[in-house]
Amino acid sequence: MSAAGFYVAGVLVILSCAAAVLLRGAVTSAVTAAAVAVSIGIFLLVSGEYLLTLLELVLLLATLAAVVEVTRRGGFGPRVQPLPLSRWVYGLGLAVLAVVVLDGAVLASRGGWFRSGIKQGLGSVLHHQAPVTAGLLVVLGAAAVVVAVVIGRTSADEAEHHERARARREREEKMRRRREDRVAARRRRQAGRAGGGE
Amino acid sequence: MNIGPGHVALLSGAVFAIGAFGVLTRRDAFGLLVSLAILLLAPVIAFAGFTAIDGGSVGPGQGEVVALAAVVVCAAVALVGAALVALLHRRHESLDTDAYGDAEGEQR
Repeated sequence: MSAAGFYVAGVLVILSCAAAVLLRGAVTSAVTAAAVAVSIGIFLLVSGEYLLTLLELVLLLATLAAVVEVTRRGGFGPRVQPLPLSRWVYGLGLAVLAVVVLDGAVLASRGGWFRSGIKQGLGSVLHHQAPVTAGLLVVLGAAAVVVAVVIGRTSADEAEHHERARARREREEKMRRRREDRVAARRRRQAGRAGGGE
Repeated sequence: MNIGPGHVALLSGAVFAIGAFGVLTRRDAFGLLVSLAILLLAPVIAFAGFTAIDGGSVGPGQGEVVALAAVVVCAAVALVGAALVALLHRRHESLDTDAYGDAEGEQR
């Protein structure tokens, strides 16, 4: 791995992750999440993991597209809440603790915890050394899709309920507008009579 | 300057810390999902980086498999999480996780 490639990819990963965590709004979150997936893909590409890069990008971007579709249907945008400042304290505390524990341990060990191995391609490893793992991953992915569809689907009675609620809202809105029009017309008539009397 | 496993571990730790910060500070369910995904992707950086630098930290090529497993788990979590968010949004008309109440179903 080249040093320049590592630093460029590292900065991209850190910036995209920070943006995803700090920026508000459903659309912004979706865009920054895509940026995180792409930046980690760039890191994997720099590391020479071409098959892993392809799988990572396809899996994460497809998942993100599904999540965005759910978001679009739900109309979540205006409902996303702003960041309460009181949570910054706890969040920063945990983030600093994580950096100290994880990065501190790495800096303290000076690389003594690492051992060499033989480089093999992911395709070869999945095929020859970890076929069961590869199969389990496929099953896990398929199960996640099925579970997500079962949990998130709108059943027929729920759809009917939503349709009725929408029709009721429209009816009430129409009645409110008619009432307002009647009141406005009455006021105009009264103003006209008062003007004619004088 | 050569890149060693320590550099990769530092980057992975920083990404994990950012994800942990997001999990605690984000209140909306969608932002929470994105933060959780970042938290889960931190090991991907570590495993893929270790494998690229010196042939694997947990055996020849196994780091790549673990990284792939982490990506699949991350995608699965995001999918199921998004479905749960959609369900909760329909029930509570809110994305604010505080509005979902406690485990007994009582609204705060």
